[in-house]
Parts: sequence; C-alpha cells; structure tokens
Amino acid sequence: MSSTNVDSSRFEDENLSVASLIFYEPGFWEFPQRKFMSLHLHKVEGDLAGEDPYGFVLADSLAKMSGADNVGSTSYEDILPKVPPRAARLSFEEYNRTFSLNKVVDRQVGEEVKRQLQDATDTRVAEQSNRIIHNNCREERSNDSGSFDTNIESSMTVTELDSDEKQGSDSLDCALYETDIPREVERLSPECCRLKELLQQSVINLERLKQLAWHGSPKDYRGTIWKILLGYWPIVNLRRNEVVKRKREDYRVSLSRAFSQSRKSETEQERLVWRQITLDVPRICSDYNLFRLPALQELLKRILFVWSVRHPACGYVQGMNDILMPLVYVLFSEVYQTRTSTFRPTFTVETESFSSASIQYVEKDGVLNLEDIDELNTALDDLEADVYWCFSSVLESIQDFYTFAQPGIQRRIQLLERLLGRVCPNLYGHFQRQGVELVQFAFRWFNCLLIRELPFPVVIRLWDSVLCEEDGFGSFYVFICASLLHFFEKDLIRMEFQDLILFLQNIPKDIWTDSNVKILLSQAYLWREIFISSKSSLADRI
Amino acid sequence: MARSDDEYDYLFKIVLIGDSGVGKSNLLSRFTRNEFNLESKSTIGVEFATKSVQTEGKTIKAQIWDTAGQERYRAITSAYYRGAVGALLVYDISKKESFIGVEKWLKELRDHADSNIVIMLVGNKSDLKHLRAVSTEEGKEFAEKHSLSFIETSALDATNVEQAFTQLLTEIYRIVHKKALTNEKNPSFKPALGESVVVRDPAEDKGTHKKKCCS
Repeated sequence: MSSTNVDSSRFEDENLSVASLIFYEPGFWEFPQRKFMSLHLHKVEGDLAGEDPYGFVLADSLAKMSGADNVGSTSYEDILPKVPPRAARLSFEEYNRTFSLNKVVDRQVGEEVKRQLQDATDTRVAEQSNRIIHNNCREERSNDSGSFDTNIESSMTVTELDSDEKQGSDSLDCALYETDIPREVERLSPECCRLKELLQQSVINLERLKQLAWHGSPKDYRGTIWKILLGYWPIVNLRRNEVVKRKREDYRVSLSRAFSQSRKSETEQERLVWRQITLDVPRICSDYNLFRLPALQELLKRILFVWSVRHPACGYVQGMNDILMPLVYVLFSEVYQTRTSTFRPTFTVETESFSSASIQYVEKDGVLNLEDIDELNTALDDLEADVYWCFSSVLESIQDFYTFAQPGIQRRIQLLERLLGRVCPNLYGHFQRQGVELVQFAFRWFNCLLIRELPFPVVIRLWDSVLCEEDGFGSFYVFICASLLHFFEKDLIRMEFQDLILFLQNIPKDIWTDSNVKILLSQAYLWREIFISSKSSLADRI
Repeated sequence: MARSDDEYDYLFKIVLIGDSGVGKSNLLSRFTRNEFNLESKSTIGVEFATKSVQTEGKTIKAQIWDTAGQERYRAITSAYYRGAVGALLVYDISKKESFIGVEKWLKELRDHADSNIVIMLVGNKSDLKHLRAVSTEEGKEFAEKHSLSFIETSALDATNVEQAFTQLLTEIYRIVHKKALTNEKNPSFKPALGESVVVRDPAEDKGTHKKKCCS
C-alpha cells in the first residue's frame, strides 16, 4: 500500500465544497424573507404530506419565492443549485415553526385555518404562528417482554401567546417552544427534542422524519427511526404492535420452513448457499466484538439463509453479510439500551461540539457489556426477525445487484462513470489515461455498499441519510461514490495505475471526521439535486 | 507520487483463482506483505496487489489480481483473465471438494484466458496435515495430466509461498524470453522497441507508455 498524504482541510478552499458545507450551518436559511417562507410552507403543506412525498413542490415553491422576492437579494443564489436541497432547506428552527403550526392546522383549527392560510397575509401568519400547541406525551414501555409495547397518551393544549411580543421573524424561537418540555428532555439537543416529539405522534409524518433524520439520527432514536424509514414499523403508532407481531411470526414460519426443508430435501443450490454462508459469517472482520459472539453469528447465518431461500434469483452473494452489520449493530444497541435503561441514564448529555448523531457516538463496545448477552436471549429471537425484515427492506430495491452477472452493479458503475465525466472531468480523464476502469474498485463499493471502504461509524452515519432518500441504496449511493472520488481527487490525480487501484481498494480510514462526512454527504446531495428531478431518472439526466 | 519499486524489466499480470475459502487472499498477502490473517474477509469481485521479484538477473514485477471464489462473481472475475500471462489455481488440501473444483476452474481459464497462459496448481493449507483430504500424489498426478506445474504451500506458516510465485514468474519469463528470441512476430509477447518487455493488458499499455514519457 502506497502512502498518501491526505489533506483533509483543503476542501475549505473549494467553491462547491463550501457551498455544501454551508447547507449545514444553522441559520443559513434564515434569509430576510423568512416570514414569507413560513407562509409559503403552509401553502404547500398539503402537497408535502400527500401528493408530493419528495417535497418537489415545496422545493419549487421555495425556489420561485426566493426568485420573486428579491428582498436583501443574496449571493447564495450564486452557489446554490437552482432548487434548494430538500434536507437543508429548513434550519431546525424553521422545522420547529412548521411543526408547531402544523399541529394547529391539522388538529385544532382544521380546514378552516387551512383555508385562511391560503390567502393569509403576513400578519395572519404571524398570528397563526404565535399559537403553540404542545403535546404532552407519556410513554409507557413494558420492560419485561422486550417487545415494543408503547402506549402513548396524547393530550394537547393550545397556547395563545401575546401576539405583540411575538411579531416578526423571531416570533417562534426554539427556546420558547421548549419551555414546556418535560424536565427529562431538557437535556436533549433541539434535534433530539424534535425527533422525540415527532416519533410520539400517533401518525408519524414520514417526510418530516426524513428531513430531520437526514442530518443524522441521534443514537437513542436511531433504531426506531431506521425501522420506520425502512418501512418495517408502520407510521401509525397504534398499528405497530400488530404489524411487528405478524412480521415476527412470519419470519419464524419462514425460518422453520427453510431449515426443515433443507434437512429433508435440500436442493443443491441451498446446500451451496449454506456452505458459503457458514464460510463467510465467521470471516466478518470487524473491530466490534459484537460480531464475534457465537450466538450472534448463528443469528446472522439464519437470516442470510432464510433470505436467500426466499429470494432464489439472488441467493446468497458474498458481501451480503457485510450489509447486515449496520442493521445488527443499530437494532442490537437499541434492545440493549432499552434493557439497561433502568441503571443507565436514558439520554446522554449533549456536548456542544457533537450532536448524538456524531460518528463519535457509534461506540465500539461501550454500548455492549458482553457478559450481559445471556439476559438478551429472549430478546434475540425478536431481534432476529426485526433484523431480517430490515435487511430484506434494504435489499428490496437493489436485488439486481445480486442476480446472475450482477447487472444492477454494472449499471450503477456505468452511471458513476458518466457522472464522474461530468463532475470531475480531470479525474475521469486521468483514470482513462492510466487505464483504470471503475469496475476495478467500484464493484466492491456497490456490492458491499461501502461498508468495506469506510469506518463503521461513518457507514452508520451515511445510512442515516441514505435511508431518508428515495431509492437511497439504488441511486443516492451512486452520488456518494462520486462524492468519495471527488473527496480524494487531489490525491488521486497524482497517482499512477497501480497506486490508484491500491488506494481505491484500501481507502484510508483515519481521516474521517464529522465534518468530512458532511462534506461527503452534501456533495452527493448537491449533485443529486442537479442531476435528478422529479420527472427524469438518473440515467436520463447524467 | 514516488514509487519505490518503479524499476523493473518485466511486468506480468497474474490471476489467483480457486474455490471460496481455499486461501487465495492469504497466499497473496503472505507473498506481498508477509502477512497472514486467519479471519481475512471474503474477497469481493477482484482485489489487487503487486510485488517485484528477482529471477535470473532480471527484476520481474508481478501485478496480481486476487479473485472472489464464489460462483456468482464468475462473470466479473473472468474479465480479469484477459491479458493475464500466469495463473495460480489454488485448492485446499483439507477440502476434497475444492480439489474437485479445479477441473471447473481449468475450463474457465481455457474459455476466457489467453491460450498461452502459464498455470500452476497450488495445494494450499499444507500445515493442516491431520486434516489432509487430498494427497500430494493426487495433486501431482492431476497437474501432470493437464501439463500444469504443481506445488503445495501453506500461507499460514509461509511454506513455499514465495517459491510458488517465483517459480511461476520464472517460468513465464523463460517462455517470454524464448519466444522473444525465436518468434518475434508473436504479438502477445513481442518486446517493445528499445524498452523492457511489458506484458500486460493492451488497454493498460497506454498508461504505461504515458508514465514512461512523464517520469
């Protein structure tokens, strides 16, 4: 392996990267026409929740709005893509405002207010926005069963605030909103508060969840959020127990069928699959001791085998075991935390520098006291089913990655090549001159979804965002891969064939910080916004 | 970027093939980095490494492509046989099944690789004496029947690993050298004018020449 000096700070000088960084700066979106924005948000609210699940109408409206009102016209437009990025289009403060308002709109005032809002003036918006509705939620978790029994009682109150005091753009501050939040929650970061609020709704607004979680799921909610985003947990809270129970039962039936069949009349393919799985699972190479636990390895083998029996066109392909790792880690940590919450603080105190979505919080074994694994035995069966369904959901959209000749991966590599030609023409030309073909390294990137390339905490953080994306694994990953190449462009451009391949097959892992991950993600985001619109597919646009 | 092993007389592309779990990646890491890992990850698609060796007064640089053993990857890995001048076909002496699989791998090479490719049959994991399922004689016999070279290795205790690679590279060198002397018209092994012989994929030659111009 050749040595390479990676200068991680150099990105600050580049326009694109600066632009992408700015998306993450709190307050960036607080430009002067803020109050118009909140008005606008209400207008598109219906679309956002229903017919416009990806927020394109919202995005378009915002774009038009900032075009029409040139109040304090900004230089932002110069560096922004023509449509503000979905995930970054609102600061948390803005989200917060929308939440409060929506509660009023949706539940209390209903259609009447909605109608009023459509032709609302500034003043009206200000008045409306000064109503805060607050949700007091009590959560009762049954501690003995390890299931996800959650009884949520919601009581709502509308708080009328003095409208004189609250005129203007700062009328609804996060701080104000938080006044009534229970003491326990006060120690949480604002993001956590909002997520907690959101997750306790009787019907979870998936779009808002995606907007929030795109910036990274706090570790305490990650398991829940992933399960919802993966479609395993229904967004209607009341249906959750029933659905999860049915799915777990379904898995158990599949499990017993797969194994009883294979004992009696296993096909040649199934025999080979099982042999390959038993060969590969112990080879999962990880610093995380969790994956070395014999009980857990057996669990992984069963999940992989059941999946391959149920998806004979794909079967089992080496590398699928890698894809299980983030899911197992996140769901396992969650079960463990629930079990131990009696003697561990439920919520960690946030430090200023890191949110709990930080990659610093993906602990190696701190979350797991391995001697306690026996206590988890009953929970393990349920966990196995949960992981199976989440795994199944991840692979759902990318099954063609693993069918014969792996056409899905080939196609993604072609797309990546075209994208690279557009966004990094110098690097692309360099690859061509050196005779480097993308398949020589990018094949594994797609096959294992970058799990081999990036440190585990970075993968977890990456998935936080990818899961919020439409077809995240099938299409957003192409942009992430391009972003990864762009990230190292200055190093790569100086290398020759051999060093290029060696570097790209062994990407340095020690350079990743939260801000570098953000650069990686936001660059991918930016390109996705440029190259994909609601009307055209990835292939058409690049 | 400076390359320490930039000086070489010949560059040979080698592929490592064989069933999953026979120890291909560990043979490679033992040869190139003198490392062995009992829990090495499964290879996905194709992985790459290089090393230079000295033989008969010449420096030969081996560009080695380590392929995934699983059937599903065959479509992608077979693309790498193109331009390869040597192959190490590996089986596990403690797994009969992997020895039976050798036949299938030979067919793969015949279908996709250059007909001049030099093949060495490697019985790996020779340290597992108590678990031996394929005798040395069986291996030798098979190799003779199909005109392959043969060696038994252990990536774990490093027995014969260096020898296996060096022997294969030397064999290729001799053939190339002989051919270069006797048949200058053979396009696959024709030496470049006034330069050292580089045997590699034509697609990559562009890169090589470019490099030589620049450096």
